[in-house]
Amino acid sequence: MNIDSYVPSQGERIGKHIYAVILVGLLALPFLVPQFQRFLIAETLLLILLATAFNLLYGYTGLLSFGHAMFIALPGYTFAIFVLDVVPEIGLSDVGGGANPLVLLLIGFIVAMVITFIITVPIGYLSVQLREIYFAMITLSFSMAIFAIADRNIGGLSNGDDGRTVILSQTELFGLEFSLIDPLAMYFIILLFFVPAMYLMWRIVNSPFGQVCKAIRENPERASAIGINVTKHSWYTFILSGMFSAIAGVFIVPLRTFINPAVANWSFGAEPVIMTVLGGPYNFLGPAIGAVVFRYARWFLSQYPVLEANWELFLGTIVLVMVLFFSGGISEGVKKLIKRVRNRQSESSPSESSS
Amino acid sequence: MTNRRKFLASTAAGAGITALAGCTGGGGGNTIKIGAPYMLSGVAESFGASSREGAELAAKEINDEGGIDGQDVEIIFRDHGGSDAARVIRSLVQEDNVDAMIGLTSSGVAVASAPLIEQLQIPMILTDIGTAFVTEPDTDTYGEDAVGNDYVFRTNANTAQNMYGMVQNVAENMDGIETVACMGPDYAYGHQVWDYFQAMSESYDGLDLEYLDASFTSLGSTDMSAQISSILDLEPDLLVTGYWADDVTTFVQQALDQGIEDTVDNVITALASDVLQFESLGETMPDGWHWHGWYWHEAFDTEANNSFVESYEEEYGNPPAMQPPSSYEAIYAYKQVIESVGTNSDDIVGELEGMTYDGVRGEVTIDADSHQANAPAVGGVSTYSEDLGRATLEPVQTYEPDAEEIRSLLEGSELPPGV
Repeated sequence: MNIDSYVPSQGERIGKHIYAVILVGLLALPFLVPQFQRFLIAETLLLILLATAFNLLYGYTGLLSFGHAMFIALPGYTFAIFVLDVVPEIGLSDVGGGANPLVLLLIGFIVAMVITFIITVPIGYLSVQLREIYFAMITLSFSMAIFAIADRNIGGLSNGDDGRTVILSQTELFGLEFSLIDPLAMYFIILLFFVPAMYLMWRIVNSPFGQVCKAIRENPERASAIGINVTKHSWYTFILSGMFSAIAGVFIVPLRTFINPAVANWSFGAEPVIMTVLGGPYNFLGPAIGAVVFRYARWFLSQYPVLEANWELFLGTIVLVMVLFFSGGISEGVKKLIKRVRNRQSESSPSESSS
Repeated sequence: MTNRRKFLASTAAGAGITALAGCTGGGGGNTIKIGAPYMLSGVAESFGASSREGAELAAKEINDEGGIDGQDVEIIFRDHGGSDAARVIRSLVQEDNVDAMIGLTSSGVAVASAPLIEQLQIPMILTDIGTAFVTEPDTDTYGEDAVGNDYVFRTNANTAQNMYGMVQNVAENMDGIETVACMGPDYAYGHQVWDYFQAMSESYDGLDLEYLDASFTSLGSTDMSAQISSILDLEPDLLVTGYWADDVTTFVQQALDQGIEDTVDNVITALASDVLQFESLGETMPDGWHWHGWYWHEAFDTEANNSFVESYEEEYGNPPAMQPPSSYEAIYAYKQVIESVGTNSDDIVGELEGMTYDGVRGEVTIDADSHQANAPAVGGVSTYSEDLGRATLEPVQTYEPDAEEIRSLLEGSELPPGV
């Protein structure tokens, strides 16, 4: 085989076909479900974004971040503070004959992403100097520092434990009137960012950049030996991971209509970890599967008061069982199952000469 | 190939789950459903539990007598925790299709949820919330936190009404008070206790106090010694505290350890006339402190109150704490309203506005503009009782809220009266 010919992996080949199917499904989904579910699937999309972006660091580069909550808190709070405090101050609400919530959303998004980027760069630089458990601890520390700032209302911006409420309301686009507090509207706005973001991450992990990540994951010393600047590459991956998570961090605020310090806490930061481990860190859609299962297991428990009263116990049990039975996550388990089925199929049919 | 199958399978599974979810959408049915999010776990667990008991007693009594217009009333309780309220409220309205709601423990959660309640257009009677901001619609004067809207009501005394009672107590029953300090939980409610006390006592005729300092501890804190020590060093004549639930127990025990009885002559608590706290403090509870709050079961010598206390004790084995009358009355208020106008949200709201009913604490009127009930507050002095094995409040009195006077006392401050 010619060394220069680049054989696309299996993953790449199915990419286009599957995305079309999933995209159609996502577009139709909110119309097929009752109102509360629309809120749930919109939130799940954001959790998928968060978990997949988290996995850029963990599954692909081998860096376990326990502080990914900060990539929800930073953009989330920035967005809330911008919409609630800054906009009235600078009189932007009067531009264009009244605050158009869509415009607010967009500008707020950009501001939040820029600020998050500015903070992520130095945090990333410091974090990647460490590896393994120390990396986990330092990311956790940064996240908890942000939690402390938000919780104690240092600087008077976060309103402490009570959080900030953000309600974006009626707006109009191309003659279609809708309210941004309606989960249906937010769902499509989120989808608009979700699809390109997931696609971009997919391209990144299946590019040479992604290959370097995997090399670092497998054997950092060896990667270094063949000339890869491990620290620098980890830094870039950290920033990418943080920025993709930040997209989720911005939109979770208008969707939930509020933000409070809990989203900066380690107990929330543990959620992308659990979702990824649950779904499988070594497949691109593993974290997505984990996010869906995790979020819906949680919803399922909330439907039954008996279970809901001790939901942490039951959710933990579900996660424990799944992790025990599917080493490598649900996605690995499903893969193995399919392989076994196909092996049986090829056994029963006349086989060609095997090598 | 395997990946494609897996992806297809997961999409199908996802669609399947959500389709199934669709099937569990709530239906009508023959019950009047009332959603009731409270804090049922964590630091405010006893508050949520008390609210629940009051409401359930009302529901039981109503159902025993034939229900609301022949339909049973069903109260659906959920734990809204510290950060889950929006999801829980949405779920109750959109999944359980409740006809109305009562609820909430924690002023912060109430303020954050009020706009959502308005958007969802569901009537909500708050039964355990202090902050006056949630029955104050005037955003021009009081800023974005004034989240009073058409759908939010309240049957308990708000912070302004409560502090009015406290300030009256200080002015009329305490002598020689010159300096005041404050301690409380470090969040909106705790800070508001101090803010309101200062503002109202400053304008109050006959009070001339020097405000020393305030020290706040985090909610549910187990170690208040540093803050207590710094306040005791100031040797105030009066100490105002905004602690409630378990924080009261922690504060009292640690303050006694640090010798508060020798340093501070008068202690007045804003939200602690709570028989459950008295029981947990037992013998260690100091005599002679002033305990204010929303209710004390022996403060109202009326037939309505006595029969309520009797039914409550029979059902639950202990006297009602501060929350039950408020949630109990809320359910009965809904009964009265729904029997009159049906379950349409806007009709319910219209009927609740300006409504007067006979409650446990006497006749109550819900203001048509602010949606705040003119609920009385209670204040008493702790006295240990051998028979009961705990302190009781003796003497104890009720404080009627005078809306006009409360407004005038707060004029010029940035604090809404919410009455």
